[in-house]
Amino acid sequence: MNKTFRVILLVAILGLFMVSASAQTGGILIGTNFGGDPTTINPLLTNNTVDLSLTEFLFPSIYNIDPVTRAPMKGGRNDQDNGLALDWSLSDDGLVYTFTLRDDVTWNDGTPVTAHDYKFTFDALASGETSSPRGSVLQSVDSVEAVDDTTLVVNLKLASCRALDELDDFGILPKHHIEPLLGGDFAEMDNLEYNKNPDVTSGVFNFGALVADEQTSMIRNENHWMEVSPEGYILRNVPDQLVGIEQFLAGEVNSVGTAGSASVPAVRMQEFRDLAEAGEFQIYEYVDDGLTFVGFNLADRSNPTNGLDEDGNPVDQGNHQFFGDIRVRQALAQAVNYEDIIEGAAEGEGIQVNSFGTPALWGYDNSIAPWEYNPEAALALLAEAGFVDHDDDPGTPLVATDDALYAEAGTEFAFELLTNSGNLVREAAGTVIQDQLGQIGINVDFQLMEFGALVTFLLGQDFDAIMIGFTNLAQDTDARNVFTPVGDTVGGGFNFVSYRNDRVTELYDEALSLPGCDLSERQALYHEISQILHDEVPWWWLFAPFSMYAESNAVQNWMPYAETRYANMANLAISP
Amino acid sequence: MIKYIIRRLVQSIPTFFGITLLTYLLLWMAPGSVVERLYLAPNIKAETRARLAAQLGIDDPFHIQYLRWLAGDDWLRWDSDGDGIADGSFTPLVPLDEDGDGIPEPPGDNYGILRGDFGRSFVKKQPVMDIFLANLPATLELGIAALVTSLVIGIPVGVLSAVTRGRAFDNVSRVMAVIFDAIPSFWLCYILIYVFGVILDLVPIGGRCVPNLYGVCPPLFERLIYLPVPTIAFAAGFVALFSRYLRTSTLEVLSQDYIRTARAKGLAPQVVNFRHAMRNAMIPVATLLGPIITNIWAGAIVIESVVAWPGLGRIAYTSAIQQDYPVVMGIVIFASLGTILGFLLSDILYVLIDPRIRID
Repeated sequence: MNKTFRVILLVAILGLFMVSASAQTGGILIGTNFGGDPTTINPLLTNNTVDLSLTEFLFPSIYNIDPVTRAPMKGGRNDQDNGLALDWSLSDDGLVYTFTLRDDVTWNDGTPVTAHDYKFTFDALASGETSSPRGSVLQSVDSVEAVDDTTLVVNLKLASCRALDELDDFGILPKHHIEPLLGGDFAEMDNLEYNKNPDVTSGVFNFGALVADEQTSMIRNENHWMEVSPEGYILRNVPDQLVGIEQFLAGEVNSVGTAGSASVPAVRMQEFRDLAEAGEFQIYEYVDDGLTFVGFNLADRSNPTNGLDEDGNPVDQGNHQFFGDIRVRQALAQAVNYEDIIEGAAEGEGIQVNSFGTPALWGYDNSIAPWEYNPEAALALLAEAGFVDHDDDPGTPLVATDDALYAEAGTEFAFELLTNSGNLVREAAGTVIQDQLGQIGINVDFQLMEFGALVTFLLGQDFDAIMIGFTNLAQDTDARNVFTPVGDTVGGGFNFVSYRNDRVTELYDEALSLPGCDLSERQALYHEISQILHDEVPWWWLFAPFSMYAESNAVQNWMPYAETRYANMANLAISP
Repeated sequence: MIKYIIRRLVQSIPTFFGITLLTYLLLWMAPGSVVERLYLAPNIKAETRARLAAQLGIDDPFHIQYLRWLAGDDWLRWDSDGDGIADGSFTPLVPLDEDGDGIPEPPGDNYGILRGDFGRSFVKKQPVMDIFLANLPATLELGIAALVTSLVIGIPVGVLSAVTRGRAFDNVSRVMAVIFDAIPSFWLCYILIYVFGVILDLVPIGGRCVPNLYGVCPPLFERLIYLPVPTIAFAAGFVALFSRYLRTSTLEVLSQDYIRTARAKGLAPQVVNFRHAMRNAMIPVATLLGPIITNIWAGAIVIESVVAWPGLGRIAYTSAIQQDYPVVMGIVIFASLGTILGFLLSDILYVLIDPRIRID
């Protein structure tokens, strides 16, 4: 072996050693958090994406979610998943789930994670004494029993295909650690020091430190059942998105946004695509699971009433003078150019939706053709509904004739469109709508107001039309609280437009209680609902935005999905 | 002097309570609530939101809420035998069993602001005082840096501008003062970040400490690199203010007989300008301290949010947006006390700087 060869061999071995050393240490992942401090790191009390970006890596859940289909999955893709369920079955009457849990998962103090921990967490929620907002599970789940450490039985109140989805609505707490702290009173849950500094956890990370308005950190769990590569994960608190993006471009942080939020604004997406193509960093794009829409008040605005009386019987809520007539709603759906709206509001970074939901959800029906821009058809429908251009002056509003169903003859077609100020997307969309409806003789009084005021009008059902957005829609498309009379309660319900269609209610019931809960059969039922909602336009379906994760090239082995930015957190390696 | 200070402080008490009452009333009248802001989603039932509102007490009438904040609620409903269940209540205001379920409500555990209890944040579920104390150092750091910078630059510039009246320095400094006074601080922040952070890469882009796993922020002298951008953005307006005030008052002083006499006696110009003229010209500056303290509060809200500085301004902004009443009220108390004490300090400095002035 000559000298040169020996030197080359030595350098190669050293290089290999250095590479393997850097892969072992893994580096520290730093993300930008635009959402403020976590309000709590207790998985039962969490209520925003910042909280969830932390609890995702700290607490076990009852099962794993398939990142591709977003459906519950038995077992896991690999050992780093925190889901406990290896298998589950549903009884023939659809009222009892029996879960078999893993027996090799432990809390970071060495105590095994068991079915008793899930039961304890559920019981805390069911007590109603905590401030947990995760009570939807109680609509269908009656009780939970821990038969032994690895067998969990869930008794349902009624056969509900949403139950499985709802059971995973919260992370699992360590009973052996929390129960003594509560002193037998679940109401104490809100006041635990643990909520800010969870010392007993079970995930790829242990909790590090929360520095108010500055950063939150998690540190590698050395006792995790698999080797965790990253030394830690820091969420750097940056309230200004513009500043956060510059930090990313300057290499001060590894990602724009947290594990639970994408956060590249629409206005920068093309620039990011170009830079990613040039190899500056990595991106991942997907359709968001939220949508922007206009809700039409279908009932008499002057006298808001609940959709059902105390005995559950339908109540006559009157009709909105314009939007009570389906033809008017269908006309409006054809009166605006959706490309203009998406371009104006979201820089073209979105997709028109055809009904409730977005293409990101399994219940969404991509085969339904969305409403198309056709002002002539819109005017013809409006004329049929009794609203005409009485003076051949396009500058003056249409007026109602005797043919109008609910508007008095001579009434000018003018209505209020409300949205919250400060949301540039909605402000731009509203301006386009105002302009384009003005061109066919409909006066839109577009009003921006503070969010709290908007909510008061919304829940009070005191509006003509209101533009808002739903984000983080649940994967299960059941929206009975939004489109059936159950949710039509003044002051609190989410069927604030007072929509009622008995067939839709039937379909929701059928999809919820379908024996066996077969996904494709339920999908067919939701597709039928989608078609009806599309045709009847209780909401003016606008668009779902695109989302983009941006990750620095320093982050190696990055495996993003729409469901989660870091599907393989334990395997990430971050170069300095 | 002490009598005067005591009298001023006593006079401030009704002002202080008036401010808190009005602020609480405004918050109460504002549409929506913290519950609707945090828990508005189709899968969260109206009953759940109502329960959360009841837990926070924001469904109570205004007078009960204000009274609870002011004087606490441990005396409104109490537990005399210590079994955790209320057995007595101040029935004219709150019944023992408010929801009529046959079980007395738990006793109150708020002591109220009059007994030093600022309450707990609705959102963070932490004592308001803890939240303040965590963020106070950052705001003090930035506020003091900005104040010192503005005094160190603004005063000499104002005096020099006056003594070089009509010449190039005066003209340039006056134009610059108008510009810096007019520039919105958040915009200046963005420009400074862009120039010094992004283009020149001389300073970090926002923040106060290097991110680290253990949340440890080193002493100030080890992280001075984070200070220039927010300090300059903060101080720019104050420099303009101080220099303009100093220029005007120095010009006034320079026309006084004693200055002419000093010059006639052959004293060096620097001695005349900076020892005799400047001291007297400083009197109006003392009157600025009160408003300056208020301005530091207002500036902190904007600048801290842009540069990600973890101070009280950030709390003020987020708590107002979230309708977190206890925190907002805490901020109002701090701001009110700061303003009241700032104006008092102005008056005291007035006397110290100018021995001719007497207050009683």
